[in-house]
Amino acid sequence: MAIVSPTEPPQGQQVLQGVLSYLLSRNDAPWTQSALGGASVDQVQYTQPHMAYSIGVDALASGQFLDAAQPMGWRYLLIDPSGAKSLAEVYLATGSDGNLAFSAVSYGPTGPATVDALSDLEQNNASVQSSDYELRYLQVPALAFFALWLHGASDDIIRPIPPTPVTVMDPVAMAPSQVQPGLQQAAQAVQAQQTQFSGPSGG
Amino acid sequence: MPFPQSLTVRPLGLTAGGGASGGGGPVASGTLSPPFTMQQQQQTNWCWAGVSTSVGLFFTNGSWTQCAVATSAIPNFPSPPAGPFDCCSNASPCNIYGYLDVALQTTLSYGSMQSGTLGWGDLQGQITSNHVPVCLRIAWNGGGAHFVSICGWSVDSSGNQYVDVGDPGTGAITTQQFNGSSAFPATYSVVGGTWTHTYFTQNQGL
Repeated sequence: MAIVSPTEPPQGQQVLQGVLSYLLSRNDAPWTQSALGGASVDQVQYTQPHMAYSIGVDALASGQFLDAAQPMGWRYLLIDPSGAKSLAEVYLATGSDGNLAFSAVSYGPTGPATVDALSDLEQNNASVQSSDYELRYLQVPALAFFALWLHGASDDIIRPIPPTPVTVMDPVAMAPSQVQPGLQQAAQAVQAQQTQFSGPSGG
Repeated sequence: MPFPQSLTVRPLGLTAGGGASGGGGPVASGTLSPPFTMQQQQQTNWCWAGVSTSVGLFFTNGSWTQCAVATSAIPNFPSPPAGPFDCCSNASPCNIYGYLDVALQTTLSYGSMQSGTLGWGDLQGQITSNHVPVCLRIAWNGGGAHFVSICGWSVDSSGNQYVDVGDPGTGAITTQQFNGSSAFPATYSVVGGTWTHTYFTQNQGL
């Protein structure tokens, strides 16, 4: 029994290599150098990717949840030479021309949080230890919601990860039915904010 | 905690100092100096406070904090809610959508604003010639809106353009493709969105 990732897209590594070549030469980007931490680029590793999903605020507010989740692209984690931690996360997406293309590389907390949450699930979650799940990533930035989504044949597990505020959701594994009401309420609150603060407002 | 067994890890296949088989490095780039850092927003709706505080601290024109900025800015919003507010003592009533132009004025960092996007050349000019970050509003696909700052740009040998985006949602920098089939912000932060407004910054504390 395991958490598994789908088969990597055929052009994924080639596109990814282009991104890392770019990172290597960005000596003027301190966030890149900080993430690499002095690691030699020829020793940087990457994980088999998983799909990144998102759900619109309006869909959540209407009561929809995972049934409204849209696959947005592939998410890779860059791993340090010791194989112990995530350095960054890279997103590839299918562009309007139908080809797989680089979308973004992010140096935020969700990469390391993914590693920590997966370790926790493997070690401590009875469902994960007894069934197979596909690893997915779920992000709703308008609600500051970031989570791992384990999709199984008969059930799903949602595991919020930092930097999701604990005021939004606790970082524990939950059934979708436990997560959906809170997200629906938060999405309705965003809709109300947009109505109250019309024009070019944001949050 | 052990590294998860479910993450299959492979060598990326780059060569140190030699680039990669996948593409070339940047042929031109520009970033702010000193480096721009983005604070993580301290309340779920405080992207406007996170961005304006970060820009003000970049300009070193005050000892800005998000709660103090919120306390000062909210009464100046169009149709503000009834106050008074002391967001540092009680942040909950202040956790509301806000207006970045008002918040940037609060941190003495506002230049001007315009509807719509900014072209690549103008974006480069703001960062490299004027040495200031550019802020923008993204209307998320599916609802909601958010403010971020662009603090760097680069172009690789294939002509791909990239922007470095500071996001108060994570307090981190993301380098995002600017042109091409996944042009910014069509796939930004997974869900993607539309660039609706541009905010020019200026150090008014000089």
